Amino acid sequence: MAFTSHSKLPELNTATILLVGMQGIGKHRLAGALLELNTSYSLQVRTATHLPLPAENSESRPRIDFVVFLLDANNNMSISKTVASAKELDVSYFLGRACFVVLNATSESLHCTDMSNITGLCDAHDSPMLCGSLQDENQRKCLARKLLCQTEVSSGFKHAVSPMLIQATKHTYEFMEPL
Amino acid sequence: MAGNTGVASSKEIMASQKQLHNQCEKIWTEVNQIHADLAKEKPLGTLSAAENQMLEVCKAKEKQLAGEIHVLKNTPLEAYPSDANTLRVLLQQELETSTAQLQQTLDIVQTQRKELEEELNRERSLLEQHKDVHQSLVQKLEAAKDTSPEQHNSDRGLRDLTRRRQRAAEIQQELMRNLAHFATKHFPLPSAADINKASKRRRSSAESDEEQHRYISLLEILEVLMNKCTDDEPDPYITLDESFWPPYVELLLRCGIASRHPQACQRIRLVPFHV
Repeated sequence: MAFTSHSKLPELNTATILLVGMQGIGKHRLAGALLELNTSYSLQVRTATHLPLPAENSESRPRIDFVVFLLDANNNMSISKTVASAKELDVSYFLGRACFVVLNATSESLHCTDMSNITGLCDAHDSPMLCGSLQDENQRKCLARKLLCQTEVSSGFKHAVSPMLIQATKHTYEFMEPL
Repeated sequence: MAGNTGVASSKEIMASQKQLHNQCEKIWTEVNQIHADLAKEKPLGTLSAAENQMLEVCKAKEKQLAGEIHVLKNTPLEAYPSDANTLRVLLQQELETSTAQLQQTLDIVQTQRKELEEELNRERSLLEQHKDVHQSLVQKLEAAKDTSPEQHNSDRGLRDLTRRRQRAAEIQQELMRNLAHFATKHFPLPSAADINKASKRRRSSAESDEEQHRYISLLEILEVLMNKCTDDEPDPYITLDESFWPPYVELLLRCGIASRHPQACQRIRLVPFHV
């Protein structure tokens, strides 16, 4: 059975991030950057190449607080794998507990697909999209800090702020006047 | 927590701790209960079967938002805990943190104030300097106003000089006219007889007719000499050719009006009287 955001009881002062991305995309470098950050709670990072997760260790697996999809704009396979993985994730995660990280978004000449396809993927799941790079240490740190900020909200460490509150205040619910 | 409550006895503290512990236990059992209830519910499922993913996500979000609003509306406002000891500790902690924060703010404000004072002093000294500059400029302006009559004087001097130069030019013209008059009257162009007399020894009369026309007058010789002397200071010498009548050249040399070049006898110049 697929895991959901409420299928397990939370642990005390622990946040768990799941990084989903194809092999060699730099999941472990990002995980290292995340673990280097100073947090007042204990942070766990799990990695997976694709979803759904295998059933065998599901009992010992902790509750996943936040899911990060890593995809490379220059790699067609990573995009198609991410699309497939996102379909396998429980909808409860798309209520502010998941985000997409697009790598190499700046080198437009090397893109193997139009950028609107990727933004369309994020829009279809109504989840935030972050662009970043894992090459440079500073860029890694910056990306890790952004992800941690969202993780803290989805783990409930920010008092009286729920991920849904962030999602609800993200948009301006104003309808455009017809031209 | 216990160390902060100086006035409370250890027995009271124990009681408070036990109460808090009980509260935590109660909340944890509630959480477990809710979790068990949730497990009975059907999960939202994945998007693999959905036709419109965005619609599904938005529907789920709407449900979640409605639920959260419902919870917010129906939970009573959480006030401070009723237990006196816990309340005291809590308030003390809050006070301490706020004091520390205010202390930091005070430090920052003081530093800013110091910086601002320094800047003010700098600006003041700058203002003083500007005032000085202004005053000196005003003084200069006054002085310029006072000296303006003198400027008229200098204008008058200029006019005076111009008038004197005009007068000098008139005098020079007069002198030139006199010179021309004297030279043409007393030293005319050599007549044919003079030429024949001078060149009888070596030339035939046929040649001398042609030569006569080419001689220039004494006045012209003087003019050439004077122009060369004033216009070409480094080399004031002119070269004698056949248009110069030799007796006139001899006359000028004898009278000390002209002198020969030390190395070239064909070149003569005006004696520099003006130097």
